[in-house]
Amino acid sequence: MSVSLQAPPAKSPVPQPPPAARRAGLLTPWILLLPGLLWLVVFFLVPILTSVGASVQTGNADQGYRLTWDWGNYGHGLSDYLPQYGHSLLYSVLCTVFCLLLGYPVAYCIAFRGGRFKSLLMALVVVPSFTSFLIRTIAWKTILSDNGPIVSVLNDLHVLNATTAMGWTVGNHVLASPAAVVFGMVYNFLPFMILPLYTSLEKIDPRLHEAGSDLYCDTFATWRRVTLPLSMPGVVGGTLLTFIPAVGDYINAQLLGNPNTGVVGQKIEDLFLRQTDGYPVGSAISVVLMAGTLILVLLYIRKAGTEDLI
Amino acid sequence: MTDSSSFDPARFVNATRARSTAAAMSRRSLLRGLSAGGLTVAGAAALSACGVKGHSTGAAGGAKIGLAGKDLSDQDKTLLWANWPAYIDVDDKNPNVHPTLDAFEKQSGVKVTYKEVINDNNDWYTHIDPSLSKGVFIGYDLMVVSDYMLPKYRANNYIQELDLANIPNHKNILPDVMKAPEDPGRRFSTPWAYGYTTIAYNKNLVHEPITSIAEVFTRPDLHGKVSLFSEMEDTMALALLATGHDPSNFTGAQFNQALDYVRKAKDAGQFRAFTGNDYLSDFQQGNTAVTMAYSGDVAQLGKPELTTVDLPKEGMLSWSDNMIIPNYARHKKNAELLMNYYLEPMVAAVLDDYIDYIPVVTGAVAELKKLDHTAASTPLIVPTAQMRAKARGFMAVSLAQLDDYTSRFQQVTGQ
Repeated sequence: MSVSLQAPPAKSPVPQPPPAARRAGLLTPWILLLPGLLWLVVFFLVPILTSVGASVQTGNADQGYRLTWDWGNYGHGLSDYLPQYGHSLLYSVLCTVFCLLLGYPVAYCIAFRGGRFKSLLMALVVVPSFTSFLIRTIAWKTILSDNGPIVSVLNDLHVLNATTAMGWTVGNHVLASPAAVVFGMVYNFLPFMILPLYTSLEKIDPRLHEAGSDLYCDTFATWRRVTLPLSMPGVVGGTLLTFIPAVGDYINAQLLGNPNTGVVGQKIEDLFLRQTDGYPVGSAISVVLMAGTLILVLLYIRKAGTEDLI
Repeated sequence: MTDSSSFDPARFVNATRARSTAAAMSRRSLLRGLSAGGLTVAGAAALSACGVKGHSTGAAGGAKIGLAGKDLSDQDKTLLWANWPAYIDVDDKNPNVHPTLDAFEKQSGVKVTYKEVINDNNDWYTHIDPSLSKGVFIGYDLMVVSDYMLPKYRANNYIQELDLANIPNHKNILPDVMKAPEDPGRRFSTPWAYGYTTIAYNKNLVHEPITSIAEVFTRPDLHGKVSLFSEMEDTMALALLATGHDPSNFTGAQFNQALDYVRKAKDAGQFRAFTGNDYLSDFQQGNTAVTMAYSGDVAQLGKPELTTVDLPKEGMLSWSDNMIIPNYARHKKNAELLMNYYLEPMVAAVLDDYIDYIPVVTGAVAELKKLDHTAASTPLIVPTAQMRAKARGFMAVSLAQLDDYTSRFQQVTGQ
């Protein structure tokens, strides 16, 4: 927050390097960029082009695929799997919102009230991820099983009648419902929200809070006028880190959902792994998913306007 | 086609033990008998040594008989075998020990690498298809796949014709199974397991007994509690039966009608899940009240409240899982020796006693009666004449049709 009062450095006569050295100097940035560029080409550009290429092919695995520029695959993909796109979008937006609502207070408390336990508390946030996320999701199937204690308590309190009336759960159970899918996603992606939030909250000077109360702000007003604006990079970073993987996630829908909660990721998996003629349409719907996510993210960043983030 | 994730060896062992105390005894004595019977395998090997050398010499021109790799069986006494999880007998004490397989290794001197890597017919096919289409060895000499997939492997010329000189027990295959439409005469496959796809339910959760398939699709008290199989053949066969059609002989229009029947029930929220191999875990936990089930599976769990409908009113699907030898196998002869071994009546009886499926080898039922009388009187292991009469196989369809049916079915399952 300090303003630099330093004068710009005075021009000093720098001796010109010999021409050969100057060429080497021009090349240096490129040489330093080379590993990163190669990485991008091999693991980003080539797969994307392969994917786009496969999406306009025709054929099947047994007779081979031919490039026919069949853009109809996109039409088929979109019209056949529109409900799945809708579910993916709905669940990932809900997941992001819930993660933010849950993650912000946690990050805030750790950053400002954690004291010497800060590192320990952050470790507690991260440690569950040391177990495979597949196993943790399967564990929820046992915890939330129809005859388990949680579901019977919810049933005794008639909570599930209400959620079922709202269409969030089905019958008197939690598993195999939209609510379970969103719950699983929130559980799995919460650390990705908390970490960036914590990093940006932790950087805020606590004396600003004192300054806020000196200027007659109560705690909430201080948060709204000082803390929140300063933590916006964390909010934007956290929402992106949550939303982008959530929109492509299908494990939660697969394990915790039912046949009417299908998401687009499940369809992509199905087309690639189980259908011998599934590559073109599978590629088309995954390209659409990528492009759609990119557009949404760009719009969001434009709106949020956090240049210091990117 | 049994479940992997929920397989609990301890319960399995207890269930088998509970069935008959005599079984354990006879199993041990049987294993002694098996090692003595090693002569049979040795005899088969001797036969093959002077028998027909490779199938290619006797093949008619242009016939699809698979592509042979270099058969190293005689120099390299090993065999690489891909099977489904929990689909073989298991020792009471050590779940990694398979008594019938050990006995085979002892007799034949062939060291078998047994891998439970197949979980889904379509997953497996798309997994090995790239190698087979490029002419590359897939890493296995022998694999077990379902009957309805055989035409697909055959159409692409992916599996090899068997050298029957190595399989003298081939004649033991029961006539019905021998003339199965997917491989008439069993020139390319030998049965590993034979069973039915039917319905099972949890008596604690379903108060009125289920007697027909249609109830599963329509009964309001089962709403949201039903799980069906994600394999097209299984679910569509039952849907065809429920709509009054015959899965062994149906038209495209009848298929569409049955598919609509599934779609309607699915859209209404009747189903909790379309599952693969893992259907038993939800069923055991009481998360699903009704499930489609492979005949032997539920009996294996040994839970009295879980009951299988022996014969739904409309009938049920019969299927077989079969051992086949993929192209470029490196130990084809060893694979054939193993096929031969599992067609011995006594070995088939031990295997089916353990995995609770239906013996399809002549003489195996008699052996089973000696071995485990309770199993021999269980209708899902030794079916009644009525069950045999009302069970239907799935029609052998062309490759294009199979792909079309599968992809349209998968669109309905929505996952």
